Amino acid sequence: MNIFKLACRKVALVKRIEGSRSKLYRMAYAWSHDAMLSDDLVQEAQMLALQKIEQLKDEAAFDGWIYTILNNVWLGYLRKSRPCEDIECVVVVDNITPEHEMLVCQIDFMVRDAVSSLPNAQRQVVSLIDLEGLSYSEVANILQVPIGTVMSRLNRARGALGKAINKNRMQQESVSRSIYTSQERSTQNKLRVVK
Amino acid sequence: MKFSAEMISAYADGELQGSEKTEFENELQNDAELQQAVEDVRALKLQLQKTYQNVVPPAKLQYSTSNYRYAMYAVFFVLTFTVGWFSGGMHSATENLAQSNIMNPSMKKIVEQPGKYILHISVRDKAKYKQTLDQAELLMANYQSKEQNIQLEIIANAGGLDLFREDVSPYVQRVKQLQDRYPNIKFIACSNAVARLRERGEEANLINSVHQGATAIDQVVKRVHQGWSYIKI
Repeated sequence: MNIFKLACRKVALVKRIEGSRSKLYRMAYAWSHDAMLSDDLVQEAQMLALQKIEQLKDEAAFDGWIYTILNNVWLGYLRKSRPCEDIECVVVVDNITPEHEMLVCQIDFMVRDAVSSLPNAQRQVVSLIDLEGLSYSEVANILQVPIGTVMSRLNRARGALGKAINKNRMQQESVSRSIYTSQERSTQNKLRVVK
Repeated sequence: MKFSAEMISAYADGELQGSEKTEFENELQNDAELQQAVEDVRALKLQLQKTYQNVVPPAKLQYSTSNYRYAMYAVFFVLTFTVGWFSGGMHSATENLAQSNIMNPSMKKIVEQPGKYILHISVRDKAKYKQTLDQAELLMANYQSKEQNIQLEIIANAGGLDLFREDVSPYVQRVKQLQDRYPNIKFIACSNAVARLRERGEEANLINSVHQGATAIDQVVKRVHQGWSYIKI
């Protein structure tokens, strides 16, 4: 009977690991802002989770456990990729094109932009807490840091995000104002021509 | 404001407990600046959730672990075998077809006939039934108001057949009224659908005015060739 119970538990856990793909992906994306990389990270994390399925004793701690694995995979990736820099990320002259500016103006891109420019440690904390709604102690466990550090990182991240979003909003307003005034000016000109 | 930014964050995240929480809430009631700060944190949290809620993983090929996969293999095998078996005789068949008009529709030009419509319903759906009857009524009313001739056939097969069955149709009265009011509407039930019902031991029990003629597909093809306009509901 015990063996039967264990088998059932394992099947349920495998299902749960498979079912957590979407939320792991969202988290991986919030950390890396790279769709392909996120997919790889999630796949590796799921694979490791399936291999280490016996380690999870308490099912209530599933979220913490699986995010810990994802975090390890992510840190492993960062460690490996440190020496080389993607040529596409190198700013040769200036990669701020009008298209880029327009995209950033749109709120989602703007927020993602702000999140991706945070330092990794802050980005991880803010996404675990705000996207996944985990508690401070769970996040402290996942990232293996004291709660005080979680709080201070969170606070710095929120400060920086708030500032970036506000700055962007102001820029956007000034852009729309300048468009408005230039439109006004052009109608005035037209009037003069008609006269 | 006597609370640190960290405390404000902790309150907004629901991390404050007991006396700390009470003290914070007491202060919150009287301090507009503090209220604003808490609101800002909450708004930021919501904004982040909103921003990332549309992030979804790319579609993944599902590995089916059930017998379904083997069933698919079997079907594939049978198909390959059948295609191979018949492809020997295909060459001559294609030649025959090419000689007839079916392969080359341009040889027989279809001339569109104004005022001739065939409406086709094939699903068991009350809303679609209503849509069919509405469409019929609209067409008739439209043509009559212009005093032009119209011929309309409503053909039902598969699940759509229920529209014409006296005991199950939700619109028996409407069908009868339509027939009384417009004699130039012809209701046709697909003979295949009726036969299939009979195989299951059910009697179609069609409304009086409904004709039971050819199969739906034959009727539709025939009418389209004659230049009727085909409307699929």
